[in-house]
Amino acid sequence: MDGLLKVPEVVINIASFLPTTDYLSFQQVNKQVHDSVLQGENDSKYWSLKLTRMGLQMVRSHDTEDSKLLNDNDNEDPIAIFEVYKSFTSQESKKIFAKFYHCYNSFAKKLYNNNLANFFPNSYSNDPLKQIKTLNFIKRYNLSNRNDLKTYSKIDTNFNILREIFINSVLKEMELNYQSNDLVTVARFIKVLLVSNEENNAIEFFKSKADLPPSLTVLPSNDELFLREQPQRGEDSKSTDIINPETLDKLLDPLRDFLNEKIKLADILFQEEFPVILQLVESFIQDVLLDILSNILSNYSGFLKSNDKDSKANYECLPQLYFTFIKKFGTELNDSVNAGSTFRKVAHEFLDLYLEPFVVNYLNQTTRVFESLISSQLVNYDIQFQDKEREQNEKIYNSLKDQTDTTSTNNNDSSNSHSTTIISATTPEAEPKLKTPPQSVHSTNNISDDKLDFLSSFTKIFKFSNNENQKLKQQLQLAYNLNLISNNLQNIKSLISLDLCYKILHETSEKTDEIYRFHTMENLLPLIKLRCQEIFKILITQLNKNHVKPAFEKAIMLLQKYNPNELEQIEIKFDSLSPGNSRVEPLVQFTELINIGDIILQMISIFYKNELIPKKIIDKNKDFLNDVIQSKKNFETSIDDFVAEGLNIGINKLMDEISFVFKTLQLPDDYNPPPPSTNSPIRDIKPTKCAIRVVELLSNHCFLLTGATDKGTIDVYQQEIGERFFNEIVKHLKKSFISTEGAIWLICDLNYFYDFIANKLKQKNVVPYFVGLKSIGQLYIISGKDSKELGKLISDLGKFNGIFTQEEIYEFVQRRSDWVRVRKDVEKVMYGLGIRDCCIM
Amino acid sequence: MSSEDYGYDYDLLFKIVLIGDSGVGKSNLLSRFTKNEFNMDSKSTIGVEFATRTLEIDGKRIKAQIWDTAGQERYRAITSAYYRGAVGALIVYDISKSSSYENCNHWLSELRENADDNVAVGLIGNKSDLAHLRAVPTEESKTFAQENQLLFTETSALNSENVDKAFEELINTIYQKVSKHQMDLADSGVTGNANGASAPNGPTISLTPTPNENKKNSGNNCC
Repeated sequence: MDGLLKVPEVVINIASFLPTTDYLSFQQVNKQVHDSVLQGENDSKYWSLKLTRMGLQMVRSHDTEDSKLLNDNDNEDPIAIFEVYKSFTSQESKKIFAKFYHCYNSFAKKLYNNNLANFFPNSYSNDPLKQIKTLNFIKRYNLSNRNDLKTYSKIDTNFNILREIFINSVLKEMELNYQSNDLVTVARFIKVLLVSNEENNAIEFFKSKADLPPSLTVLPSNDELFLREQPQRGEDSKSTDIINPETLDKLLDPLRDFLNEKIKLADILFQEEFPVILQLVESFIQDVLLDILSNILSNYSGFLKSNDKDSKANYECLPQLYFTFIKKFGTELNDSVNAGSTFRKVAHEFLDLYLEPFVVNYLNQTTRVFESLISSQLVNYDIQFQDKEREQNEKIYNSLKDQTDTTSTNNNDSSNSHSTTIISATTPEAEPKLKTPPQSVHSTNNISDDKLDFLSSFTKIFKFSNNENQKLKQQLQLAYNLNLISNNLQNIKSLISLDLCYKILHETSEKTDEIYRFHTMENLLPLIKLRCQEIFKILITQLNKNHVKPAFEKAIMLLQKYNPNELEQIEIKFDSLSPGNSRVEPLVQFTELINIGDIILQMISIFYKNELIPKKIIDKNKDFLNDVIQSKKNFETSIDDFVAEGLNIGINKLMDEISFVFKTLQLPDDYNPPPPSTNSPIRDIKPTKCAIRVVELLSNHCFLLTGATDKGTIDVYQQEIGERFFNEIVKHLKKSFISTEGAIWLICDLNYFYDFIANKLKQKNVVPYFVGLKSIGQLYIISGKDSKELGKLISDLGKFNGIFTQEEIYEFVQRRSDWVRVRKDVEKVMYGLGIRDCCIM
Repeated sequence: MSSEDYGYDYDLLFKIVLIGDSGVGKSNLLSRFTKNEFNMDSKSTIGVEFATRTLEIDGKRIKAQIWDTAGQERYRAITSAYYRGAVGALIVYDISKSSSYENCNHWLSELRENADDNVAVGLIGNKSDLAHLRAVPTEESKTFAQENQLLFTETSALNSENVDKAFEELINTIYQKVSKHQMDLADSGVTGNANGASAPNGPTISLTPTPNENKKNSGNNCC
């Protein structure tokens, strides 16, 4: 046996498995072991290993400061010793371990022997915190025994039993103190639990005190919760509530108060030790709020259904819920020491995190809901408009029928008193009409005024109709048709309702704001922008498809149908120069439509600039290919096209009317007066009635667009009128006969036209045409005796500003009343048989 | 048959032509006289423009029908048409532009060639407001006017100076001639138009009903 101890390896190996006391004994087994084997380095190794197992750190040498620490005082405080000795050098390992041994070995021994009574010294008895700390250190100290596994295990097993008993008694004490409302003591025990790494028990305890009374989560009935009639958007602005805010407050306030109470409790129990309140808030959101939210959403769906509304529009109440939640369970939470200074921000983030899927659902649903809302309003307007029109048409017919009845009974009157009877009979008929239809008095007035206007001229027809019943019926039908046209024309401008467009735009703005309110949820920002873009596109598409496009189409159809001559032929004989007749009505009405269209475009542009750009919903620099901009452009183009088409038709009608005036008002004597005689007065030199009327027509139409649309369109429109008017004059001239005496009046008229074009219309491009016309006028003032020079003159194209071809000028000169007489001379000059040729011969 | 029934607002109607170089201010003289307007940047007249103003002389309402012609008209046939039937003419030049004064001779001979022998003529030196730029001495023009039996006034259409006076003098002269001539016509019994002495309230448009046109073809008698 002794031989074994002579082998150092064996001795060291044995020593390494020995508990402390045994090792010390073994060291002294003989001199050799004591002096040469378990000495110095090998001895230090043993102690160092123990210290290392306890979690101390071995260092080569201490910093100069620390080296003095190792004193000879054996009375180390067990609670503090692990703080005092954190590192060691191998030389001092034995001494340091001795200090730990001194502190803890008695506890270890008690545990080893399972002697648990009076385990802690008396001084610890009222301080569970000291006790638990001691326990924690005992466990750590026991780690030094791990080279002797048997001892270690036995101590550890018993330690665990002791600890469990200890924790249980702590929990029991906590409960008792909580019951007796001694929260300070409870807080002390909580700290014990936290020190003992028993957070779960602490949290469990807290949670058990934070159970929500089930009564708080009972939802009010649908009728209490949801507002039956949503306040009119736009009028009572701001309020977009769907849920009765008072009821919602009544539901959520107690929940908020409950949370605030728990925040207070957590602050007392945990202070800033452990962020238990964040856990509580998170699970509150998950378990309570999400439930409430889902239930409200599904209840709202049911509510909508029971009210015959779209049950799939239930997420419309989400914004109100979301922001109320944020307010109640974010902003309105109390400060929490436990959760720290960022508490409310964190709570907000929790809410965002858990509500995000709901917001996404809302974002996905609301564009569809918005589309059907807009669409239904536009379609309803159209239906109402058609109903109103039908109603008016019936009224017109009935009222006209009444007129003919009156006329028939008054057949025998002279035509003069006849017409007055009819007119006076019309007036009382117009009276009740003012009251019956549920529309604005203004528009009714217009219609009845027009009706009166029309009827007064209409009655004059009867002068020719010889009181025959059959004819009266035909006249009635004609009157009805004509009056319908005029009525429908009046209605053109109400085809588009600016009020409705404004309302819809306002709703779009509100919807955009509503969606954009979620922009603080950064995850959702791309989706939010996308949805806002969609809302804008829906606005444009719906406005175009269901309102503007049909309106323009109908207006253009009416324009096309309108035949001014039909009306003129009747009216011309009575009151041809009355200013009321100097307008092509549909063009005037259509211009109003253009004006409205322009206003709508402007409103959309303003909306785009003020809402979408500043909110960065769209970046006009980056997104120029974006379909939002595209659809905006398409809308503008589509209106432009309608405007162009309508104006083109309008100009056609205007030219028809001008042509008609030329044909009917230009008397043959105007430019070819009979030779002066004693009886015929000499006319003053001034424009003819016809020219005055034509210019009146022009000036009534040329400036209709001013202020209604952009300058480019106005220029095109005015130039087109100018050019086509020029062509009308040319046509007219080619049909007139002009004598040398009459030429003065032609020149007067041409000057008058030129004056209008150059000084009123001010379209430079068309002025040269009218300069050319002035030169043409001079062809006629030349005396027939100067026929040869006349020939020279018409060969000089420069004279006519290059506007006309030789052939045209030749055509013009043929309109001279003395053409037969001068022709020979003129042609001689023109075709090279002039004076000079004659000389050569 | 009162004159109102037929819209006559005058007893006599005089045709007066404004001639002279382009840019001397004919149109502005006319607009100053008839409308009391002046247009700083008026464009040159194209063709011919008409304006009227009624004056009262000896209790008679005289309507002056003034033809404002383009200064650069090249065709004799056209100018001849302008002069036809004119009883008065104003030859206008610009006192700050001697060429426009020198051309007055040309205008005068054109007038003499085309218009009635009895036509009353006034010489107008316009733009008298441009005294600091004067290029034509008043005395010279006065002498020229006397030699050719023309009335003479310097005017400014810009500040209205002498405008009314120039027109009124011309119209007065015409009126004197007409009164004398109508007496002659009444004596001889020749009435070429509707407004002989027998109908003193009727309108008159010309001094002599048949202008001497026979003389004018003299230049082209080749064939």
